[in-house]
Formats: sequence, C-alpha cells, structure tokens
Amino acid sequence: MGATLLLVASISFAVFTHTRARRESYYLQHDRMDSWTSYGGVWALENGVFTNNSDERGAKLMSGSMGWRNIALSADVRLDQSGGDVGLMIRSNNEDLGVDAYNGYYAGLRALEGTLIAGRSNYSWSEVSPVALPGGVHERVWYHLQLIMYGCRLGASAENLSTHQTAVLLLYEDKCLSSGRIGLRSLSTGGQWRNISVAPSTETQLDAIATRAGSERNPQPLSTEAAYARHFSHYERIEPVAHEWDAQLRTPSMHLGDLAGLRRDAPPRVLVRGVVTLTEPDIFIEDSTGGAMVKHPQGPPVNVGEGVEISGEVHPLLYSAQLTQSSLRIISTGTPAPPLSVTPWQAASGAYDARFIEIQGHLMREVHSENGYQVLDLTEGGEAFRALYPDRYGQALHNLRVNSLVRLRGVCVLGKVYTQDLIPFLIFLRSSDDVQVLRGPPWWTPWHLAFVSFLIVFLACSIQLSYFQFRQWQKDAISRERERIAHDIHDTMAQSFAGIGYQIQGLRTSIIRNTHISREEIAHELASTSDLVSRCHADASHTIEMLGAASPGEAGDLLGMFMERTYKLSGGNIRVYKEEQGIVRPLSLHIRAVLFNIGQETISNAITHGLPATIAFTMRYEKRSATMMIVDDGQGFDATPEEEGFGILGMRRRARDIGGSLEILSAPGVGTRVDVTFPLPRLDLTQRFMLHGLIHRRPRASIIPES
Amino acid sequence: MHDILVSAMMGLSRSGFLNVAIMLLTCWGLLGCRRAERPLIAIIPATTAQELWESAHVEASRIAGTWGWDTFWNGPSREDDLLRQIQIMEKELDQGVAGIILAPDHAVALISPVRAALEKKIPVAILDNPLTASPKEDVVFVLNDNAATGRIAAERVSHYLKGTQNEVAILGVHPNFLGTIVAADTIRDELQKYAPGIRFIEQGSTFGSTEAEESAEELIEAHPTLRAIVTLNVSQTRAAYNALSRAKLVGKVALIGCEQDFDIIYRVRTGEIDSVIAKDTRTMVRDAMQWIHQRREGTVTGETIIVPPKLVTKQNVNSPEIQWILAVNGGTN
Repeated sequence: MGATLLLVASISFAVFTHTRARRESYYLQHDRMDSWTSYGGVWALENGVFTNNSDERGAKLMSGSMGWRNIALSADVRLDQSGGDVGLMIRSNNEDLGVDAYNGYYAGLRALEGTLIAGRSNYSWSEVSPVALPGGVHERVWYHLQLIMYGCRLGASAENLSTHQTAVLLLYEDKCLSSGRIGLRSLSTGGQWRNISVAPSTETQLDAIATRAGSERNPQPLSTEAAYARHFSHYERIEPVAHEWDAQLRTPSMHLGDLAGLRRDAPPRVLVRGVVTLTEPDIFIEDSTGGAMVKHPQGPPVNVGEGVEISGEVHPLLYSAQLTQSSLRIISTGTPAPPLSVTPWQAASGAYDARFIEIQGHLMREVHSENGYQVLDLTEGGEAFRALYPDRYGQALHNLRVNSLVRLRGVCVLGKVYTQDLIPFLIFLRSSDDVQVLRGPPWWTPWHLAFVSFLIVFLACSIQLSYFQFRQWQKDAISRERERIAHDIHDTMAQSFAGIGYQIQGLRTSIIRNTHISREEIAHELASTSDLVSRCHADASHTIEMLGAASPGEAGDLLGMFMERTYKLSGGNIRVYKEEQGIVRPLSLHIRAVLFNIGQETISNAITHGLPATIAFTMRYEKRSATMMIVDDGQGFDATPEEEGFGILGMRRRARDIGGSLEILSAPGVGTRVDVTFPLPRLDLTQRFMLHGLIHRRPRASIIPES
Repeated sequence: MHDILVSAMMGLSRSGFLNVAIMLLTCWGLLGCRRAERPLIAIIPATTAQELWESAHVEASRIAGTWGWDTFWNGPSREDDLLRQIQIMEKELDQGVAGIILAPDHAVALISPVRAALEKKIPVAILDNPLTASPKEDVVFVLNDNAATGRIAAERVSHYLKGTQNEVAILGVHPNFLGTIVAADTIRDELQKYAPGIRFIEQGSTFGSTEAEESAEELIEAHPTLRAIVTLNVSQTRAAYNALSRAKLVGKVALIGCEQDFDIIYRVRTGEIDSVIAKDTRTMVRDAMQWIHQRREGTVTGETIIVPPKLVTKQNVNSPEIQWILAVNGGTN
C-alpha cells in the first residue's frame, strides 16, 4: 500500500510539476509546426510567418498550454481578402472542426466593417460592440494585434503598421474561463501571422488599455433579426467587393468536365469558373463536373475555397485539362466543397483526375522526404499510390506508423509528369489534417511475433531455471537443517548417552572386579545414571516436539516451555511471567531451536548461580526484528566480556547463527537480563493490517502462580 | 486470501472500520462524480453556417437550462459535408450523450449512425427532413411541413402569373433532402390548379456559391420569360438573388425563398425578394427536446410530428410571431 501511495504521489507530483512548468514557461515554437495543432485550414510556416491558405470558415491553429491564465498575446496579422476576419484566440479549450467550435475568447480584425472585434465562443459566438479602426481594415496590410487577458477582463488593441492608426476595446465577463491555449484563427479568408509572442500579463497592462477603451462591455449575442437588419444595412453601404465582382463577371463558356474532350491540336481559349482545391505545387480548381490544373495564372494569389473565374488556353489531358496563358479573378470566398469518397481503383480509372477526393490506404513504408515533399507510399485493394505533403508545412506526418490504415483528403492527379508511370495516381495533401489514422498497424507483425515468441521462450526458461534453483535451495536447506540437528544431537543427547555409557561401564567394571563396593554405592550410581537418562529423555522430547511441529509456531509456546522448565527445575519456588509485545509473528524451526537452547542455558544459569525469586520471559516483535528478554532478580554478577565462560560464548555463537546478537546486562545485587535480538521476515497482509491498526489482537500475558 | 480477508474483517477495530469506510466513500464519490453529470443533449444541425439553425440552438439552450441539462452544438460547415456530420455524430455517441437531435444531411446515409445510437439506447430526434427509414421506439421525426411550404410558395407565385405562357423555376431539389422533393411536387401540383399550362424548370441543388450562381445565371439566360423562381434552400436563394441582381432582373422575376437567413430576410425587408417561407426550427427543437425528455422517462414512443412553416413578407417581418421564429443566439462571426 505504501509503495502504491508513493507511486501515485510521484506521478501526481510529476504531472503537477510538468503542468506548472508549462504554465509558467511562455514559449512558442516559431520555426516548426510540430507543437501546433490545426483544426481546418491549410496552414504553412515559412521564415517565421504562419500562413493559412484557405478561406474556410473558422480555421484554427492552436498551441501553448492549457494552464495559461493571465497572459499577453500579440502578433502581426494580415488578411488575404477584403472580406472575412483574422485574429487571435486566448484561453481556448475544447477546440474542434467548425466555425465556432471552441470554448474561449477571440479578438481580431473584420475586413468588411473595418472594425476590431472581440468576443467569447462556447460553440456559439457572442461579441462586444465592434470598434471601428480608423482607416479601415484592408487586405494585404499588416496590423499589430495585442490581447491582454487578466482575471475576467480581455483588452484588445489593433494598430495599422503603415499608418499607425489604432483601436482598442475591453471585454468583461462575470463568469469567465480561467485558463486555456492560444491560437490563430481566420474566417472566410486566408491570412498571415508573424512575430507571435506570449508573456505573462499584468493588471497595469490591462488598465492601460482600459483607460483608452473607456467602459468595459459584456459580450452579447446578436439575438434578433431586426437588430441584424439594422447592422446589415450599415455595412452593405460600405461593401464594394461584390459589386466590383458583379460588374466584371462574364458568363462562362464551358464546364470544367467538358475541357478534356476539346481538340488537342488547336488549344481553344475558354472562360471557366471553379473553386480552388489546391494551391501548391499548382493551382487546381473544380466544379461539379470535373477539375482542371491552372499553370501560372496572372492575377492575385488565391486560397483554397475561393471561387475563381479563369480565362485561358485549354490543353486537354487524358482525363482532365490544363489551363495555360490564363488570367484569374477571385469571384467569391467560402468553405471548399467536401471531397468525393472514392476507392483506389476508382481513382486509378481517371474519373477523378484533378478532383478533391477522400481515399483510404495502408501505409507501406516509413514516411520519407523527397524533393521538398513528405512522401507517403500507400496500398489498398491491390493498387499502390502515393501522397505528397510539402515539407515546409511541418513534420507531423513523420509520426505515422507503417501498416496503419489512413484516410486521406487531397487532390487526385494522374499523368506522367507527377507519377513517372510508376504508380497510377498520386494525392496532393493540403494540410496535416488531411491525414486521419483510422487504425494503427496490427500487433502481429513478423517483428512482433518474433518478439512475443522470444519472450515466451525466455519466460519459460526463466521459470524452469527458477524452479531448479528453488529445488536446489530446498535441498541445501534440508541438508543444513540435518547437519544442524546432527550437531545438536551430538552436543546434547550423544554426549549424555556417552556419559551414561561410561557410568554404566564403570559400575559394571567395579562389580566384575568385585572391589569393595557397597549396595548403597551401586544404588547411588544407578540413581545418578537414571537422572542422566531422564535429562537425555527430556532433551529428546523437546527436540522431537520442535521437529514434529506441522508449521513454525509462535514464541508463546516457547515462552511456555521456559516457564514449565523453570517451574520444574526450581520446584515451584520461583515466580515466572511471560509476555508478548507487538504483532506476534511465527518463528522458523531454526530460530525456535536456537532460542530454546539459549533460554535453557539462561534458566539453568539463573537457578544455579543467581537464586532469583522471579524470572520474566518477554518476546517483543518489531517490524523487521524481535527480541527475547529473560530477566531475573537474582544476585547478578560482574558481566564483563573478559570473564565470559564457555556457556555464554556458546549462547553468543547460537545467536549469531540466526543473524542476531546476544546482550547480557548484570551487576552484583541487581539481577541479570539476557536479550537476544534477531531479524524477522517481511510482514504478510494480515500483519500489515494489524500494524496499521485495522486489526487488533490483544497482547497475551500469563502468570503461573506459586504452587 | 479469503481467510486473510475474513480475518481482517473480523478483526476490524472501530477506528479501522472508520478508515475503511472513508476509503470506500472516497472511491464511491470519485466514481459517483461521473454518474452525477448533467444529461447532455447533442444537437447536430445540417450546417452551422446559417441562422436558420441558430434559432434552434437558442431554444435548445434555453430549455436545457431550465431542466439543468447541458447541450452540445456542432455541425458541418456546409450542408453537403455528409462525412463531417457522420463524424460528429459518432463522436457524440462515444461521449455517451442522453439524446441526439439531428437535422440529417442525407436521407439514407445517416440511417446507420442513427441505428448505432439506438443500439446504445440513445433516443434520437430527426429534425426538418426525414430519413428513408420510419420512426421507431427511440426515434422521433419532427419535420417541417413541406407540403405546406409548397402550398404557400405556390400561392405566392400565383400572384405573378399572367396569361397562359408562364414559366416558373424551382431550384434546390435534392434527393438527399426528401423535404425538397415533397415541396417541389406540391408546388407543381398547386400551380397547375392556378395555371394549367404552366411550365416548370427544375434545377438540383449545389451548395457551393460559385457553382450555384453559375447555374442560376445559365437558367435565367436560357429562360428570359421566367415569372418567378422558387428556391428551396438558403444557398439557392442567395445564388438566385445574385444572378437576378447581375441580370438586373430583381423585382421583374419574383423570388420566393424557402429557409431563412438574415441576409435573405434583409432582402425581403428591402422588397428585392418577395418572401421567405421560414422553417420554425425553434418549435421543432422544442418538440424534440420534450420528446427526448419523455422518452427517457418511458412515457412516449416513436412518432412523427409536423411543424408548420411561416411566411415572412415585408409586411409581417417585424411581427412578434415572425421575430420569435427568427431569433438567434448569436450566429457565427
């Protein structure tokens, strides 16, 4: 139990320390995407600038610690479009794919209204009244955005880095989120973020913003249509974009699916529309009829999800077409269409060339890099294919394990230029989100099987070896015990029998030689011999009693034997006590035999030399040791080591045999105390319960009264 | 081991018993925390991109608040992102929710996830559009009255019919949304009564704005004598409005939309769009919540509840009844 508690405490401490360390270290990786997690969008990192090349609504890139509380977050931000908004998230939790799918705070710049906005999302958005940024919010202009979160107040400030015009606002919530991560977020536009920094915030910093912002505001949902209509009528007057697009819009001449069927000898010039599905290495667009690749178009840079109108020369390919010499205009923004779910066989058929698809496959080998791309070699249903992901977008895919079943989303491309005729098709991935692991590799790979087999054989050998070792230990123990018993018998009974033999032999010799020996002398000799036989019988009885015990007994029996022996030897003239202290533990046969011998010697010495009125036998059990104490109130003696006789030396030797020690405390007139301290094995479960007070057993004490 | 435990129990002292009791209570308390969680209702709309479903969100949150329940709200960014809706549903099933309210993006493909919910004894309310399977014990259909939508649309269109040469376009029929088929059929049947020689042009639904607008433009260009356009979802209404706007035909070709969104209602206010037949998603979600609550108590079984739509015109848009239907919790930023 103690070990378990220690382990739990150690883990808790480690987690606490780690969390605290992360909370207190405000470090963000600016050179690698590994510590960032994306939820939608097409994110890339280049030269310290984070880019989202997607118009997806509510694309998020998260990092930092869930334990961050009062922090100052700042970054330079830039919009790719004249619509939508970009900004920063703070104290965010529970993020998911989806427009407002997070629980946290967000502040950013809204392009259409030219405002600084801030609010709270809990899978539903509520915001404070936006504050107009003088000069408006324009595409491809850098703004510095700073968020100061302290307590339940969020201060946000924005500055146009070209004109240095600024805006501030202050948000307050009665019940606010206490901590969370930080993130980058965009809605209906691509964007860029640079110089992102996080540091602990102070109340002074927030007060500085509060002074400029005036009153703090609670985020309020825009709850009625009538309120929205008033709001909408305001910004519709200042929205130029849609009308600009409208004025220049021409009716497209063809659908993308029809381009592959055009003549190859004389490339016609066409006007087509589509939604951007990929921007790197080439631009791919699609509509519901098909897809096409656009080579180096003239026009603004585009993002995934944008609707574009393209005028250019058509070069029909086998299954799709390529547009060259083209000019491009953005005509709408939005979330890209969901992918078409196809099988590798369908993809290889060419029917989905240049289309955004979803496909499954098993990863054949480790992800590796080639020509600036991370390469995934996959197979499924007998078709082998590849997926490519730009290296500079991060190394997240390198964690994929061979033989994993993955689901990919990307643009399917056929054609020799890309496939080198080695594979039927390949997939261009747009973000690490485009790879979803459906199932890890099976555990029964050849390597795993070999490892498990080896483990089984190793365990079997170990068990067998342990068994042999145990049997050997058992034999050795039995041999040692036999040897010890033999020594005991030799030291006690054999000596006594030898004495008896000599005594009878002497008597017999006297009778045969007919020396002058009286009947009384013969009777005396026989009485003496009879005493020796009795003592020898007693020794044999005790030895048999201990050897015959079914299991190691407790010391209570031992102390009982001492009491009986004292009673008999003293003729009942000595008061004897016994007591056990602590948790009574079983003692091995060896220990009991040693204690018995030492006790016997001590009793004999006490009665012979000390003439005591009382002898007390005590056994005290500690956690890992026990002490047998024999205390008499006899005459005592000068207990100096120099004067120790063979008896005491023998007792010490016996004590050492069980790993213990013997101590004698005595002085003339104060009695004698003999302590034998010896080690004990570990406590079992019941004894641990008793030790911790969960089970109580009364200590046993007895007294044999004077007869 | 048994002997040890028995002896341990027999030998328990008062303080020991107290210690063991405290340990057991702590364990029970820790396990009980999970059990004591508030019931969670997952509401998965067809898309989170429209205020149409935000009205349902506000009502669900309000009702859950009065019951002491929690709500989860998330859905795909587009109505045609079926896989995302299935993913969200599967995730919520794994969370062990008390009930699911689902506005399905596909009449067939969502049947399997609903079955998976039923296997876990999780009641499911299907909102707005039905599945091809019938309601069962643990499934209720709370549907928009699409026939009524068709009748109202036909009645509005009838005001713009002249003579015997009438062309009316119906945009947004989509087999994934069975309600659109019912509404389109009803519009045709009803308008035949008003003008027997009327011609219909039908166009399926696409949910990408670029392509939807392109289709609408092609249609308007190909049919210059159109009297009216009926659009069956928000994407088509926006596309038709933009196409009419570019062709400078706003006000000349009547536009009647089904399903509400704030920018579309705004065009009703300005008179550019004739009317919108709004779905009462607040009432739908209220009935769905009520049914799930009762189903958990075992007092109701599977059924179909039909909720009538409301016509929103320039004249009635500010009425309390219409504003109640259109009210939202916040929408998306």
